[in-house]
Amino acid sequence: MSAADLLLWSFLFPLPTLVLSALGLPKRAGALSFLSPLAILVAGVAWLAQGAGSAKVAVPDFVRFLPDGAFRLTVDPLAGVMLLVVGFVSTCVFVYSQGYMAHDERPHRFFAFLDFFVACMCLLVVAGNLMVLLIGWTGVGIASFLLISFWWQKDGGAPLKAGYLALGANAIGDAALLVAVVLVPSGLGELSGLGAIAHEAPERATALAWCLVIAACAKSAQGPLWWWLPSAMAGPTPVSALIHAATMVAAGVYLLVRTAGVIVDAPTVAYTTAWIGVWTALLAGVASLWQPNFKRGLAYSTVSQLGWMFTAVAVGAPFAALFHLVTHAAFKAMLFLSAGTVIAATHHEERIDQVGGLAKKLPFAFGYFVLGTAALIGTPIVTAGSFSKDAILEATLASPWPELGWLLLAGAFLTGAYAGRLLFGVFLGAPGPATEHAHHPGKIFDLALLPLAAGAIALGYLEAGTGALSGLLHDVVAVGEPVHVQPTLLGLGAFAIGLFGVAAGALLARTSTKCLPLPPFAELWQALWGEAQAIPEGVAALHTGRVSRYALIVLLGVAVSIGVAVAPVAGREAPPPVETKRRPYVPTDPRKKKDEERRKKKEQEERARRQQQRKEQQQEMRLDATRGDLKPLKAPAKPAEGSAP
Amino acid sequence: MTDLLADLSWTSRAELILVGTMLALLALAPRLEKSTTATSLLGVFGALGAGACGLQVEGLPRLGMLVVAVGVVVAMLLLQVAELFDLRQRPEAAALVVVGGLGALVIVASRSLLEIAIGVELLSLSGATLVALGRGQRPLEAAFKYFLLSAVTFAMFLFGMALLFLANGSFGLDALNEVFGPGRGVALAGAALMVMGLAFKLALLPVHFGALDAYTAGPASLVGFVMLASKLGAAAGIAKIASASGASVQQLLLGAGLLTIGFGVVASFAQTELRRLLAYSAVAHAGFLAIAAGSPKLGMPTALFYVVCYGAAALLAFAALAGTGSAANDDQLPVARLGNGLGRARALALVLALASLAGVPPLPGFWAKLAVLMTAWKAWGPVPTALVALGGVIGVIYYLRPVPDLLAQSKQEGPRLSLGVALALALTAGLVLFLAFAPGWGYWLANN
Repeated sequence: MSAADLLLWSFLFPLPTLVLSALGLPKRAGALSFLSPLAILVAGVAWLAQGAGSAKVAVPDFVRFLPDGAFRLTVDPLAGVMLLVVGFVSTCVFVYSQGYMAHDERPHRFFAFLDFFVACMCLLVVAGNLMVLLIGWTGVGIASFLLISFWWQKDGGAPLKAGYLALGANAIGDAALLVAVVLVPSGLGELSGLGAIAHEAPERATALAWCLVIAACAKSAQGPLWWWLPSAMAGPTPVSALIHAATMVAAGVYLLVRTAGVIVDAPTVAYTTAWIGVWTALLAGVASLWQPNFKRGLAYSTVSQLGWMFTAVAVGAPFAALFHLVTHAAFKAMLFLSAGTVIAATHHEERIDQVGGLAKKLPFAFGYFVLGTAALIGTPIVTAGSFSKDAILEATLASPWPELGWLLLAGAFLTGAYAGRLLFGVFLGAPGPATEHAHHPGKIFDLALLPLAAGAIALGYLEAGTGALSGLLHDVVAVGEPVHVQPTLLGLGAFAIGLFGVAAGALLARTSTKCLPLPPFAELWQALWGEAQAIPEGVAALHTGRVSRYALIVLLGVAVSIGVAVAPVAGREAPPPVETKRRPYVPTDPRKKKDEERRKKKEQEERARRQQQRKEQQQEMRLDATRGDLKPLKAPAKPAEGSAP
Repeated sequence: MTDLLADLSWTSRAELILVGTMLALLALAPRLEKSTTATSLLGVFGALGAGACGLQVEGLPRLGMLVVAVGVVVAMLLLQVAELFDLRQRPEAAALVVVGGLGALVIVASRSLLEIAIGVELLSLSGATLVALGRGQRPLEAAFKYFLLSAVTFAMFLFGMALLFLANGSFGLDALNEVFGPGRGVALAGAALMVMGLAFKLALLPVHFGALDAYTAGPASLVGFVMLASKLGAAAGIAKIASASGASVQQLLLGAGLLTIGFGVVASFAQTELRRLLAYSAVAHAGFLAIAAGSPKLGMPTALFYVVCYGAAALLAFAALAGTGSAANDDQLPVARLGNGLGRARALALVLALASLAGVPPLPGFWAKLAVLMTAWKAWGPVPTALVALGGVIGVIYYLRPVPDLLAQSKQEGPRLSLGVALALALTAGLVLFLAFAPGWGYWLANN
């Protein structure tokens, strides 16, 4: 059994620790849980060492009513790389969680949910067709809900409401993906071959592309479906790092990279997606500056960075998107976990104006945050973020829509501003009220982030100068220009703009609120949302319990139903009755026999007359048709007649 | 006598077994009221007999017999904890359960409208009376409404039959196909009336009201069966009439189905009690069933597959709730604090049931919705398909609302699990899990 075959079943790896945690074992919660993602990571490394091969398994006719009802699992280089990312980040987060959740009431529950998430995420990655992908896709959504609302009774149920929001957005994406599953014609079941739909069934290609983009937008909080991710920060911070920064929200990008062929072959969809990505990147960058809660500020940063990846896929550079996905997973998880360290140190203080000057008390977290900020703004050579970000910028500028690239370059300023605001607002400047009581939460908070920090520095060299990543993926993903170690002029320019942004952010962090004032339309939005919540009660009020009301609705409904059913034949002149063996039952009375006979005679006459009429009509129609045929012959004769006299 | 038996079809034998069981239960009622175990065993044997007959045949009757058998067995296992007004009425309740199963089976195996009418009447009798046997004032009121509205809708069904007879002089199901000419309009009006009459049993808009009341107030241990039997009978009947009566009736079902899904989904958001939530869920699911039953192609197998998947989850949900309510307010289970006092086994069962009802893959509810989507796509094109898909997944929000609470349940908190409830939970949960990992088998059962 090769490592690729083993990776096919990676979604089963977390099951043993899941069961243990569910049973409340071991006594120190999570002490063994990190072994599952570590096993995935080790299997992934073994797969790399064995030459990164592919493997497939399929159970045919798993679902009989679908065109492609097979249960397919596939491991190819793309899935392998994604599994490595999942294993790597999860291992760090699992270790970190042991510290973060040490004082929780129900830590075993937490680790069971995390294991469930990792299992679903792995299934999503190794899915060989859309149906299996949907199982993992919905699974991670539910795991996300369970973890967001992990402290569901806190703050008057606010985490539970945040969980509903996440479920709602995810449901829209799930619906789109469900339609996509139904759309895929038979023979194109495998995800890797889905791109051929443009040739095999062109009438469905655009619809499928839309479905995939809507699903990806929901998962990655893009465009009109962004709203759930910031509120998802109500969950524990390790969850925000793993699910809402590194892996699950990147699943949308993963899906688009997988099916890039479908998207690129539908130009309208690709163009719209690119704009969605750019606008989300810009607007989320601005929205991050409004947030008084620094964790939410980071969440908007994630939304913004995912926008960059969406743009990359849409302009036909899926490799750049995947590269950024890999590097972003490392440095964004690191940023979140260091924010988590701050939260743990200040006894769950998340407001930026309550903290400040924490650099001395939390030197490690400060160091990680500086490194993360440097990676976000793309500091050349020393951070991984610079290589992947430049790859996206270059690809977008070289695409048919270079204006998007210029907009992204402007977005680099916003990136710097929001990262700088958080860095200066939390770790530097004057100490806030919560800074005094802050204490270092423990060594595990520092050590768990070391691998991520190493990743944030070194992952860029997977591609830059070496071309290892593109070499691995070139069979599965369209790779673009090679990435060099020496910074390009464009990269340096973007970095300089980012530095200006950081300066602006630092200035903002010196104000009293440390954030931009909220725009007025935010209140309008709140008001509308409040109104919308009253709709269900209005509908449910139909159910009054009064029988008279029920009867009225029933009668009206039935009347409408009869109308709908009879409509196709109503108003049409009844054709002559067809002779059938069964005759309508007509009661005969000897006294009325004469009447009966007379009636029958009349009917027969009537029928004959109608038949005659119809014949005549038909003949007329035939004549019309003949005349119609003759017309072109007559037509040229007209001018001749006119000119004769 | 033996010759007569040999000539009987297996369906008739199953029906006879059920009739025999019912008669035995009623005849022995004065003795059986002292021993619930004997009552349950008698009912279970009857159901197993009917199920065994089902294994001898193929096609629709087999599915009908198996589903009815499972439903009756689960109801019998829950009889011990049934929330009855008068606990001495257990044998009567058991007999009524058997009658309900008989009604559903008669409709599934029917070849003429008269048989469907008899089945509907048996279902009404069983459903309304089972609800009325419940504890407290509310079940009585709900049963009265249910009975009243089922009488009205049954009258509509009969009137529809009369119209069809007027048009074609026959009660055969094929008769609808043979009506052309001036009688066509009359026949279609008759078909619409019959569909609406049956739709009451399905809990389809606009005739869903009685069902809402009954499912909310009836005794939890029996309502699951009432829902399953009426949905099975109604779906089979509607699919038969719709496939015989052509495009306009099918469009009617599509429209009513979409409306029902919309209503069920939106109204469910406002529900704060679990029983009401489950009742509204029964309405929303009726919408999917109507769309499946109204599909020109594969309508019947899709609808029955849906009934199997939905029924398994609904039985599980109600089995988890059986015998948990207090005497005063059986139906007051606030969703927000559901976890309090259910115990771990019931809580986990409820999570599984709710997730399946929500259509979480790979649970059976998901496969059922996928099957409906597939037929909707083939029959009606993209827009209805997208609407059905959205209606199918948005419910996940309210179904999963109590899940964090339920998962936090510890072992000790709930009432003791009796053997019957434990068996019922194991049977239904096993069925849900089996269908989750072998959806192809479930569909084969419905389609073969």
